[in-house]
Parts: sequence; structure tokens; C-alpha cells
Amino acid sequence: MRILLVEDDVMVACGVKLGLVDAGYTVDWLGSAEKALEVSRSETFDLAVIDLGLPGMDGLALTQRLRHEGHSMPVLILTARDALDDRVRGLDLGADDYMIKPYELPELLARLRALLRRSQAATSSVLSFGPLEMDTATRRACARPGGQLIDLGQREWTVLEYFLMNTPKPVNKDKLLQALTGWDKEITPNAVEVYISRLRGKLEPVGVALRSIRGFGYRLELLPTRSAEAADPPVPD
Amino acid sequence: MQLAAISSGLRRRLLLLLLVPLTLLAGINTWFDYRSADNAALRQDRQLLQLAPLLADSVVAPGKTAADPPVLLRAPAIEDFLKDGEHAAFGVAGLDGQLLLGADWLTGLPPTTNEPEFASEEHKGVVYRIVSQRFKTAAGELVVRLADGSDPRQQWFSQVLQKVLLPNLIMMALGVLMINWAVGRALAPLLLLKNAVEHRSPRDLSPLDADASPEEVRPLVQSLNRLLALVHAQAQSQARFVADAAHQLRTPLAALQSQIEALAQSTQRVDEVCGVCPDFIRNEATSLLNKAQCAIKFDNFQVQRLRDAARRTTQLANQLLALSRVDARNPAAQTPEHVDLKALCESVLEDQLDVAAAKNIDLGLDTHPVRVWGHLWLLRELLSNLLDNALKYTPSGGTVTLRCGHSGVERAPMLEVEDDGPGIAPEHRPCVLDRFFRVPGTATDGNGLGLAIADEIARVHSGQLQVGEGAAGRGARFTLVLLCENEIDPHAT
Repeated sequence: MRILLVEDDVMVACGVKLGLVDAGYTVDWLGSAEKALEVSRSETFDLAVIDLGLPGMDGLALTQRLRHEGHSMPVLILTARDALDDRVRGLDLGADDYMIKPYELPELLARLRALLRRSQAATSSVLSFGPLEMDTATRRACARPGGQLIDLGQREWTVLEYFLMNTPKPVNKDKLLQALTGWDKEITPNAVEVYISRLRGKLEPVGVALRSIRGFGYRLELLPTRSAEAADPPVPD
Repeated sequence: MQLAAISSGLRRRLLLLLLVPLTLLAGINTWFDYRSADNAALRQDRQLLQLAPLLADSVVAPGKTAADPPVLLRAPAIEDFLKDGEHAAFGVAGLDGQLLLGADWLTGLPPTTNEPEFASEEHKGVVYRIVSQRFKTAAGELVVRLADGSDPRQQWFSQVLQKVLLPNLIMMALGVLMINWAVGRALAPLLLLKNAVEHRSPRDLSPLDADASPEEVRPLVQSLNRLLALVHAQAQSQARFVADAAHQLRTPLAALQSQIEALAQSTQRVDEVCGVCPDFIRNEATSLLNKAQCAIKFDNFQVQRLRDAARRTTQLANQLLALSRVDARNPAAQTPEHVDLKALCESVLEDQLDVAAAKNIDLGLDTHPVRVWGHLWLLRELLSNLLDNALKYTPSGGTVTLRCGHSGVERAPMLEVEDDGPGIAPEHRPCVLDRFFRVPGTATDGNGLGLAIADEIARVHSGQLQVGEGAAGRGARFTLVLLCENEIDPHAT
């Protein structure tokens, strides 16, 4: 996984790069938007991390230009806390997510993973979470390592797919219900609970849990025994 | 009562200054009146004295028998006296005191000498001046008496009361009323000024309207305005300093934290890989993983502590900045927007779900649809701070609930965070919202600003942040109660 890092503060850039490299990513660090734009024309990146406050062209303009030139890679904006309007504008101009500086590394990594997962889902048919892998093309779900198949009913499949598309965000029960009514008019909240409990029975043996969030919904989580793997970075290329 | 409070000094002085001369005038008036009455009385006594011998001369002959009264032929002067005076009487008595002629009430012991004797006596409600004198008359030695009921000295008291004291008293009473009224009227602009200063919010440092106050007070208002402007400038520069300092702090902090976060991540992984392996192997592994780190052989625990310290410093800088921004915020400056409290609760819950999961805290929602007018990022800051606090103090396995809906009989919109942690002792509740206050004996890291910020934000929204205990008397509960007017009608489009 190759990440484009655009950040003018050397100390911050070193820290981010160190953290990302340590997590298994390849990082290309550039100090200005102009250079980044130039490099992006000849190289391809899986993801861009862009600081808003850059000398010359700022992060917002860079994001806009990247989108304009047809780059579809996910963009994560790093922003100072008081640039509140900027971060909303950033999302409007084509950024996929933002983080406030100073940030906590585990959160940055989690957000990068989520962005990468979503962008991969758009290009590849495989969705994954921890040991879980779902191939939407072959409609096969299996658990790594070992490739042990998980047998899922059609509705269970749809529910799990919805979870995988949204992770690490929790899933609102109402929204899940809405997503399911598309193919089954008569679905009830109770029915959703039945699918959830069936899914739990099938996922827990492979180390994935569906945590209930009181008054809200559910979230896909890794069971503590496998949590070491959760931090597992994608394989560097 | 406020009116009396401010003007009592001036009013009391004015009253005193006016009442003392009034009383003095009344006294002088009374004295002159008394003197004139005295003169009149002397004149009356002289008249009676002149008339007495004439009355004696009027006795022209003794009675025919001893039992008969002497013959009286009233002299013209006596006739006039008796006719003129409405209350006039005469009496002629023997030396034994027996009345021979005249009004039967004019009795008494005869004078012992030949000198005239004066007396005052009341008869039928009239006070008479009476003169008694012995005379040798045609009917032998007799006592003659003349009584005059028009004695000015006797009438003096009632006259003084009616003509002098009563008008004076009425004047004084009227004076008091008028002074009160006049002082009230004259001091009204001063009272307005006082109320304007008194009802001013401590945050409002705008100048007072000098033109609205009377000329005499204007210099005072102007100096007050100068002071306000000074305080305002000072408060602003202080807020700006805090904001600038916090802002400037964050850039180096971001660098520091990014380095430490990276270091913490790699040492943690070394620990996970090596477990409890001997130090040298671990250090070997560290060097294999990252050359930069082998120079300083930190262990995982130390790095974690470093990272926590960096995170806390960052949080402090952020909170100081937030606080200075709420402080500097003039609520009227920015128009409020629609805020969906339910969506806000869900979004804040999502943000902190990982923290809750790591501490094995059951973080949940109990939300009902409420939309209010407010400042979204401020309310988010408030809720995040409250939730952050709850998660920090609630022990592992506890429960934290975010709530929004309506509270009380008035159905005012509210936002609430409740936990079942150690709670806040009632004696500490009034202080927890103070800046930098921390409940004594709390071990958790914190800088004592989170709740102060929340309180400040509540005030910006004209709401109230209430501190109480959670359900069943356990834990803490922080409730933001907004005004009913703040709610957006759910049926409105």
C-alpha cells in the first residue's frame, strides 16, 4: 500500500511517516502541494494524507485539483482544530475523511484502514475485516488463516455485507432496517435481531463479534483473543 | 426599596434641612402669638379693674329689709360691658360670701384685703377671667365680682393649635411628601443608571449611554465607561493570548505526539512479539524493527507513559483553545443553526465507542427526537467533554448513557450524560464546574477544564448545566436543560 503524505511541518511529517511505515505502509512524503500534484501525475498512490495548511497551494485546493485530474484514491485531510469550516469544505471538495491535529496514531491507522477497505471494495469484490473475508463476486465468506468457509443464509449475507461496508463505524439499527427493507418488505426489528443472533453464532468461533450498542445498534468488533491481528497492517507491497 | 436605598442619603438630608427651619419658624410664630395674647390679657385685666369700682358705685341703696338684696342701678359702662361681652357676668356678694345680686355661679370666698384679686374659672365650657374686690358701697361693705369670658389668654392654647401649629404641621407633612416625590423624580436618571449597571451581565463590557444620564452624573458615567473599556481591552487581550498560546502550542505538540505515537506503536509490537523475553532480545528485536529506536532503549511502559503525557498536553491545549473561543464568542455574533440532538448523541457516541470498548463500559443511547436552535460545534464540544469525563471516571464494567429529549413539566429540551461511576459528592457539586477544579482524591488524569467549558457553552445557549446523581443514587449525571423557546417545532418545515 502506497501512501502520499503532503505535510510541510518536518517534525509532524517524520512522526506520521514513522508511524505509517511501522504499520507496514510505503510512504512518499512531499512538503508542498505543487510537488505533490506533479508527482501524482506520474505515480499512483492508494491513498493520500494531506495537511490543510500548506505553503502556496493549500490542502483544499490540492484535493480539488487531484479530483479534477481524475484521481479517485481516498483522501484524508489533516486539519488544525479551529479550521472548522475548512473541514466541512474539505469533505465537500472531495476529501473522504478528516482528522484533527494533533491526532492519535491508532485512530489515524484505523481511519486509513477503513478508507482503504472502502476504496478496495469499489474496485475489488473482496471485503475483509480481521480474519473475515467476504467475496461478493463468488458470494463466499471465509475465515483466515486457513480459508475455513462460513455458511451464510441470503439475509445473513446481506446483513454482514452491510456491516463490513460500514466498519469500523457502528451500524444504526434503523438504518440497517432501511437497508434490508429494499429486498424484503416485511422485515421487522425482531427479524433483524434473529439474523444478528444467528450471525453471532457463526462469527464468534472465528473471532469476530457483533457488539450491541444500547439504544443505537451494533458494531463489528474483533474478539479480544484475536485483537493482535486487528492491528495487523495490510501486507506491504 | 431600591429607590429608598439609593436616595435615602440625599432624601434624609433634604428632609432634615427643610424640617429644621420649618420647626423653628413654627416655634417663633407660636411665641409671637403668645406675646400678643399676653398683651391682650393685660388689657382685659385693666378694663376689669376699671369697671369694678363702677359696679360698686352702682349699688345705690341697701334693700328694704335685711333679707332683700341691695338696690342696684347699673352704670352705663357696666351696662355696655354686660351687653357687649357675649360671656360677661357680674356678682355682688356680702362679706360672708353670700351672693346678693348677679350670676349665681360667681361665688367664692371674699378677698381678705381691699386689693383686687384675679382668678380664672371655667363655667359651662368657657374660661372666665374674674376680678373680685371689696368696696364700701351705699349698702355697706360688699364684694363685687366681674367675669369676662373673652379672655384671650385662656383661648390661647386652642388658638395656637388651630391657627399656628396645625398649619405648620400640615405644611411639614406636605413638605415631606413633596420632597420625597421631588427627590424621586430628580434621582430617577440616577436610578436608571444604577439598574443598568446592576442588571448587566458580567460578560457585557460595552459602554453605558452617557447622553441618557443627567449632566451632573455624566462625568461619573464617562469614567465608568473608561474603566469598562479598559477591562474589556484587558479581557480581550487575555483571551487572545490564551487562544494564541494554545494555537501555537499545538504545532510543536502535533510533532511531539506524532513521534511518540509512532514510537509507542513499535515498542508495543515488540512487546507483543517477544512477550516476556529477556531485555537484550527485546532490544535486539527493537533494532531490527526500527533502527531509529535502538539508540534509546525504552520499554513499552515508559513509552506508553510518554504518549499519555503527550496526549494530555494536547488535550489541555485544545481545551484552552476551546475555552478561549467560547469566552470570546459573542452569542449574538453568530446566528444559531438547527441542531438535531439525537444525531449529535449518535455521532459523539461513535467517536468515543473505542474508548468505551477498551474499558469494557456499556456505552448506550436513550434518545428521543429533539431539534434545537444552537451552535453545533459548541454543543458537540459540550457533549464530548461530558462523555469524556464519564468514561474517564466510570470503572470497567460500568454503564454510561447519553440521553436527549424533554425534561420536567415544561418539556424543556435537554441533553444528558449519566454514568454509574463514583459520582460527585454533594459538597463538591457547586465547584465541579469551576475552571481547573478537580475533585480531591481523584487519580484519573484530567486538567479540570472539560466541565468548565461545558458550563460556559451551556451559558452561551442560555441553558443550564445541572450536576446531580445518576439513577438509583449512584454515579453522576450532567444535564443541559435548554429553554423551551430554543426548541424547533417538530412539525415546522
